[in-house]
Amino acid sequence: MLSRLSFRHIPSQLKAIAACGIQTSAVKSSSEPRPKRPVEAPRVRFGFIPDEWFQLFHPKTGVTGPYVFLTTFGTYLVSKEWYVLEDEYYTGLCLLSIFLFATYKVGPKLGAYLDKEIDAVENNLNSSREEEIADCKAIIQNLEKEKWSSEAQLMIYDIKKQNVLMQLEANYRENLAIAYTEVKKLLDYHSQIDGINRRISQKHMVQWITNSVLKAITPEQEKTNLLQCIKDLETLSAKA
Amino acid sequence: MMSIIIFPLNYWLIPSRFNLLFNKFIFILFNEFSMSIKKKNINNLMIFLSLMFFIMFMNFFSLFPYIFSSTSHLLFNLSLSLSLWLSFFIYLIYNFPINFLKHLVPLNSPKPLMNFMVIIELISLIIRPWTLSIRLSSNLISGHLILILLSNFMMNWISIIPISMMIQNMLLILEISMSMIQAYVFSILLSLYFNESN
Repeated sequence: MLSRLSFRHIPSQLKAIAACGIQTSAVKSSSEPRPKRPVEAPRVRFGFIPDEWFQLFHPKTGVTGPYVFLTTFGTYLVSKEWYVLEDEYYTGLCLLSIFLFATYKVGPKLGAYLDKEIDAVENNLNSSREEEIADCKAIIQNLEKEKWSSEAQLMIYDIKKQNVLMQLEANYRENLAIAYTEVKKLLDYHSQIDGINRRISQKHMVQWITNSVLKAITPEQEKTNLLQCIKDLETLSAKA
Repeated sequence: MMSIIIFPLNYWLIPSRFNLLFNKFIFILFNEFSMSIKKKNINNLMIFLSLMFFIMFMNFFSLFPYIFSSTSHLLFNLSLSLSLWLSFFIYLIYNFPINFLKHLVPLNSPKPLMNFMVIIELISLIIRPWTLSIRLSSNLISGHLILILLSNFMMNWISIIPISMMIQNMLLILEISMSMIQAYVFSILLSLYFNESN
């Protein structure tokens, strides 16, 4: 029956979904503020009574209101014997005094110690988070550096390209020089062969002519020639 | 009901003061108990730890006015100790019967005394849960009795209430420490019996 009451406030669409048992509707964020954990404990009076309880009387009765109420209400309860002061009351009174003593004497020291421990836990958790952030930052810095150094790589690549081109040029020139010398050698060879051929043919021609001339000389010619020579010599000697 | 309120809940990653205190307490107790239990049975340690917390809170809250002290009753204590001890005992008899029988006669006991020794050992075995529960309830009963007597005295002699309150305070401090110690003793002894059974 109570479940029906609770269903009354649900819109019809949602009711249908709830009836089918299908939970496909997206969870809507509620408009309620997120619960926040109070870091410091709220104020208390007498070691354990929350301060808000005293605030209830404050607008109507002022500061003394709650105390007056407690006293009068207490005396009423005791006097009319609604509350009987038997043994449990006295034990409770003693227990309360012990707890108040512990709260006021040991409480602050214990609280300070526990706060220190909590801070240590928090710092520990935070330090791991900060380490993670620092690591990520270092990675980003490293990547930026890598990016920067990769830009330098472009320059290095250009230089390497130029270097390769220069090497190719040098190689080409070297090849050219080799080709030149080789061609020159060949041409020299040919020119030398030509020279030799010419010399041989010249020599041969000279020999042939000489031989032909010598063959053509008849003994009479030789004789006349000799005589002419002797005559010339005689004339020369006579002149001398 | 109060114990439900008092047990800390972990909603946040960073512990609160009470959370931290409670965790430290559990950590110390865990170290204490882990010494008395074999390493292979360390998973069963939580039974004894929770038992100790249960008894400790029962003892402690029974000191508050108008709260029923259940641990001062044999019915309650015996149901705790007997059920656990009996389970250990049955486990021992079922799994290691020879060992169980061997331990009934102590080492180097003279032959004429052997029969007698078996009876004594058996009695000492069976008496264990009773001693446990009677120890706890007698401590609680005596403590509460003295407290009630003293508060009755306070009720009748209101003129000397400061002196009687001081005595009552000392007694209460003793009772608070006793509530912890008795719970510790109860659970550590049970853990020792558990250790013997396997």
